Amino acid sequence: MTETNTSALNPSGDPIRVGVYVCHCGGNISDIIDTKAVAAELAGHPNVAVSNDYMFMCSDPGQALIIDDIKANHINRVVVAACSPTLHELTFRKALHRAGLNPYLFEHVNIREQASWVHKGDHEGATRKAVRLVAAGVEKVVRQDELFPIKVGVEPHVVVVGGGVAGMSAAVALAGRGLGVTLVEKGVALGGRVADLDRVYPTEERGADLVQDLTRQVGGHSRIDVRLGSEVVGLDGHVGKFAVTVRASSVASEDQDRLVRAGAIVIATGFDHYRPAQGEHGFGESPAVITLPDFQSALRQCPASQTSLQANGRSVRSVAFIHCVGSRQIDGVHAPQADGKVNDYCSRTCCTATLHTIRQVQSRFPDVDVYDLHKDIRTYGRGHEAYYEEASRAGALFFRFPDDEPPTFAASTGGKCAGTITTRDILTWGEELEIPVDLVVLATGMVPRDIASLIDLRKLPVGADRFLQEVHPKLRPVEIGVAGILLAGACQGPMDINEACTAAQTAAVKAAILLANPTIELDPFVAVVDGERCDGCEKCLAECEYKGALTMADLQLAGATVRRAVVNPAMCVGCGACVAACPPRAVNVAGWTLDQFDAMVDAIVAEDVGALAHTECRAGVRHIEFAVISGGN
Amino acid sequence: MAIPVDPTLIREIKRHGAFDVSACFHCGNCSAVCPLSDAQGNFPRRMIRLGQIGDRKRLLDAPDAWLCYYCGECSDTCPREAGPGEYMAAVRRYAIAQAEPTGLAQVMYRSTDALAILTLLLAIVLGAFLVSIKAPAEARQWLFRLVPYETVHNVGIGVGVLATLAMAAGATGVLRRFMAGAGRPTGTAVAAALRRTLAEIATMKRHRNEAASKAGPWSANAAWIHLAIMYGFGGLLLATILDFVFLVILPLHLSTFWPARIIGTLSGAVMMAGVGAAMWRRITRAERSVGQSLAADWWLVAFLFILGITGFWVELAVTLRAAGPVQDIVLLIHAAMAMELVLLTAFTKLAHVVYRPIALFAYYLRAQDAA
Repeated sequence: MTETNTSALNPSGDPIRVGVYVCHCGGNISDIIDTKAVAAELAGHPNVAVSNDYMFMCSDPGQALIIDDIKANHINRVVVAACSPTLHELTFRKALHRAGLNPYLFEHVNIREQASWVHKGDHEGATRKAVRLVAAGVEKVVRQDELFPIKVGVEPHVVVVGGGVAGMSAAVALAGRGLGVTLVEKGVALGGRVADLDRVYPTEERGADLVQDLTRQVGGHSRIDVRLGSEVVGLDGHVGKFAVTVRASSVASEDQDRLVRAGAIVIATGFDHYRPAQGEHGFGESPAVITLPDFQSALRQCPASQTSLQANGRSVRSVAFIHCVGSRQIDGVHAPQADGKVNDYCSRTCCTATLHTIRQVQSRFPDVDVYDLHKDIRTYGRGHEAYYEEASRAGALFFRFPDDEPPTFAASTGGKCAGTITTRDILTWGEELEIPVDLVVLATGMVPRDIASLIDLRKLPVGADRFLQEVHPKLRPVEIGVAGILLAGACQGPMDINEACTAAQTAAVKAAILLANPTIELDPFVAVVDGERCDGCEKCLAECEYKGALTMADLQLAGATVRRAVVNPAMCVGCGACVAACPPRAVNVAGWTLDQFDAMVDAIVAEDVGALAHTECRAGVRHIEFAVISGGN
Repeated sequence: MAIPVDPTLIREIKRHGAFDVSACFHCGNCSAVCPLSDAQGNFPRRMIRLGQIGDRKRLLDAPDAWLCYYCGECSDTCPREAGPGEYMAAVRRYAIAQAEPTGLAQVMYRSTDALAILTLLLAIVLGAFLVSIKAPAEARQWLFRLVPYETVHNVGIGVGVLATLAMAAGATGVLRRFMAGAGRPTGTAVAAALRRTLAEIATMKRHRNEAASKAGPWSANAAWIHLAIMYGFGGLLLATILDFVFLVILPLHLSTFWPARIIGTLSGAVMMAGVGAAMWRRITRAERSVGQSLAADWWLVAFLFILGITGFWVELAVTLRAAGPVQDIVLLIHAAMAMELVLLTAFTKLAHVVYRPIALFAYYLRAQDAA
């Protein structure tokens, strides 16, 4: 992990010539902002050589403007003032690269979301704001270092944690793409929660059959190493080069630990069923109140020849299902969980699972009266609405209880039925109803499994709902903040089998893309320590959240051995916590240096773009390139 | 006070013709389009919910089901095709069945076979009874060899009294239900409610305004058809009574044509026009409501049709002074079925001639109360 730090000038040695391009975004920007005026004002900046506006900078002719200016007008820095950088920053970096310029000598200024869209009523003010934002961009880009992606060598192996349907699907998909897989399962058999299910929606297959099929596929792959009764107890390294310690729980001694080197890790630890609190809808107080998983296993064990539904030694003539038990809880209405929070999320699968179970009851025991008590019905999946439709037409009676008044159950002694549910029903104009029932089934939701020890190994990001949290639910759905660690299935949030397996496939593909080449390229926006300024105070170490990203090392400097902070660029995420802690300003995040921030702030508060100082070829402009990291741990 | 849920009620109502009502998910589209829906906007959804949760008392105590003339807009609008209009019709059938204690109505509504067998059986019994009654020889002549003239009158009176008693019992019951919990009304309020009820019945104005096809000939409009049948049937009843009063009680020996025959013939023609149109619309399923007719609904139309045909046959025979075994049998059928229809008033769809006006009266009376 060496850093080539050429403290020389910009590579060509030419004076800094910035090209500024103000995009109209087809009217999104130019209807509000006077783009010509912005371009004209920026032309007054001493470092700006070209300043233009254009209808669509992201279009091919727009990009050609930049490329032509780089080649013909010797532009060596580019600022595009347009949409959000998440949309087109990469587009323009690639354009710079095609023109032969380092792609990081580019600044993308967002004058759409940050100016035109939010100041529709103030054209003049929006224009003034755009000028200052672009000027700040220019001031930043003239201080920009030449950067190169970090390259990391790759181990073509993946550790999958959890042997349920998601973990098995991921393992099979990964092995099918030529990668080695270690499948670590805590339990004594593969299959997870699905193995407990009778029939699954919407295919009506048996859970056991699904598990058996996947287990066969896993067993048939020579590249998959299944570790049953095992846990991950150690996790070191970084994307491309993880070192995972797997311990068999039957063998307590540490010398039995197995060290697995892997380029990526897929977490598929799944969920737990919510366990109702004592007295929640009568749970634990009466044997007539059971959970949906318990009811499903009872159904599974009930022989097909049996014509009447039995529970607790009595014939069941009526059964009520209560939705949202342990899900969509409301602060102040429901008792908080162990961590003091309520489960305010929707568990998503229970509505369809409940209605699917109701259909099974109706078709096997047509004489049983079925009641369904819900806040809302959310059968969101394709074709799932059919279960509601069929259950309703077959005579299931639906009640809708208010969010803040969950139904209560009282057992009756010696009555005709096991007890009575009392509920307020919105469909009956909020009146209070009493429903005599023999059995109450609580549609319990999903809660995350207790994987605290795994989370602690690498500070895995956990959401407010205690499930593992992805970077972005739509744009990066299976990735987390730690590069190389991917999510598959219900460890991330409530999912049904279909979704969990889809997520597993996605994670497998993501891992396969990561590990497809001998090296991985990472963004170079990581901390860089200036060894000459660093005085070894170690204040930065205390701030660093990422294990292994920042360490102290003895370096030779001007003939003396000194202790200095050293960054592992593969582990650093560029959060900047160390930058803030460093008294001598020795640490900077590449591409986002303190000098750049200072200059940007100065530009924003400056009255006149033309009055900003001309920046010569600065001494600080560097060419930062990291060596390929291949050492591992 | 919490209301106990009883799932048996909706099953019973479903057996009276509301086959799809379980699909209702209470979106309220039916209430949005229903011309009867009040400011609370609950009709007919409210009725459906009361049925679903099994609140017998509030369902049967409300006269609301009888306000509905089954225009069918709710059923056309229902996104679940749960048939709210059919449900209302089923509730009316259920209410008729609940208002008589024998269970006969329920059996006839639930089973087409039972309906056919009972109808036939009763006709045979009545016919045999008519034939078996001894009568003086002078009464057994011409058309009346099989069923003597006197017998028809005497048995007819008996049947009329029986039917009236049964109907009166039912009417008292439903009126008590509809007025449950209401205070003692003032005379003027009763008069006003009566006036509104009679005006609505006599003109069928609200029904005409709500009928699905307001344009087109009268025979395409359920309200005009109903008016024809109603006045035709009423005219025949009047003619029968007049005939009896003039010829038997007084007896005045007036012309055979005036007034009973002429009123009877005209009324019969009007009724047959209405019955014909009603049957045609049922056969061609001209609109949703008539397309959903059950055997129990057909029963009344068919009865009236047969009575009309046999009635005109007999009249023709009288006019032409024709006699013979065919004419005897036609008269027997006519007499037996007419008596059967009257006898079964409280047990069939025909009961609506009593229950609907009572419901309208109660509704208008209570509406004044509320105002």
